[in-house]
Amino acid sequence: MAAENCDINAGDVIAVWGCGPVGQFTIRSAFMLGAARVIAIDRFHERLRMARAAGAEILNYAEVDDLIEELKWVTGGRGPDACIDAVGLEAHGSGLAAAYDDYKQKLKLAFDRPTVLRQVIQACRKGGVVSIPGVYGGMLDKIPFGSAFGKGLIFKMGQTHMHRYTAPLLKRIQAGEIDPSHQGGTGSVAGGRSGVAPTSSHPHSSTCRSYESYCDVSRSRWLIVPMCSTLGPRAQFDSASQ
Amino acid sequence: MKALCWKGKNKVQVERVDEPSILNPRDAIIRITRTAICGSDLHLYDGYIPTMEPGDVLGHEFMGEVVETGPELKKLKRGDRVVVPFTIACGQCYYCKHDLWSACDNTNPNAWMMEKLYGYSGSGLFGYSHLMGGYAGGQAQFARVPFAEVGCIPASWLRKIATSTLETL
Repeated sequence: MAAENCDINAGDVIAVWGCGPVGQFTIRSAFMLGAARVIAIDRFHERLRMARAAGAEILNYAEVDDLIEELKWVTGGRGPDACIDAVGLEAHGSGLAAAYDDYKQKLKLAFDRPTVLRQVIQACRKGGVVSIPGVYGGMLDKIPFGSAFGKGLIFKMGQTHMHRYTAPLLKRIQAGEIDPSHQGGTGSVAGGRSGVAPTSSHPHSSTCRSYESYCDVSRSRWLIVPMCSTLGPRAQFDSASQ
Repeated sequence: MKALCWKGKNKVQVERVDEPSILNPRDAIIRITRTAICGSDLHLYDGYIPTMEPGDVLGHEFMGEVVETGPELKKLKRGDRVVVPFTIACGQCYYCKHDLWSACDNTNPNAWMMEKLYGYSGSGLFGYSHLMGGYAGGQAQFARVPFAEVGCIPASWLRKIATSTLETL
């Protein structure tokens, strides 16, 4: 839905912030819908490598001085045709704005850290689309709405309409066009392997620890954490979780 | 049954809770075989989403086997293996009929809370705060899935999907 919301025309350049599972599938979907180039933005090498394997160009925001300038530079001065915020309310970033969001959230003055949202608005080309699959919850602060208005941006966002996509996506998985398994398999999109998630599998018994680890930034190259209760019968679950 | 419960900011715990039962005629009870921790679960874990209460069962990404069906379910059968969408949709309201399922008007019993904040409420979500309906989530042995025939696609229907579209299901 994040990619579909961009109304991609053949030849479009799409920039995707966040290379977690949503970002990874968005990159592949954008190519599937006709994007000529996808620029993937994150700071974790592992995730960026997966994005590159899908055919995306990669940008490590922690290694560039000015992300917006960098995007302008690699798009011939025009900016991406659509910018996708696959990060949402717990964005990390660098610089003054990110620190400001961080403190405001810690002081309970705000639910959200809209660092990425500001960047997608700034980076998008005039008349382009800002697509937001990343979750936001409250009143956002310091959003450059003037920039959005001045450039005539189109905003599309929201919780995914799961029921609209389940059957068509299963169809594509069955046809081998998408491979959601970690191993990659035979599925191929735009010449790249499309294997995506999961990246770390755990028994129920270690669930609490999984939350801690997933949260721990040093390990957050994990994409999604499936818990397999190999269990079946209840008795097995009980013994597994003791 | 055992379930993963939210206990407060940065604290979760596997606890014994009551098993779910059929409350409405279109409910199904699913025995969960696989579930996942999503990045959005970390927003709850980190304490950023309001209206969580200690003891709430987490988890909105899960799949499993149907073990019990409400009297008005016609297609889902005991033993069907299903993937459950995290948004809950009735399939009959204005929004569901307009293919805007996550805006379903009938699945958030706490819509009044959302209406105060957002003007209108979206659909209910599994395991995602009382603001989103207070539904018990899928990081548990069993879950109650309301309107189970709207969105749950049994593995046995997969062959049909390969040759048809959603409308014909």
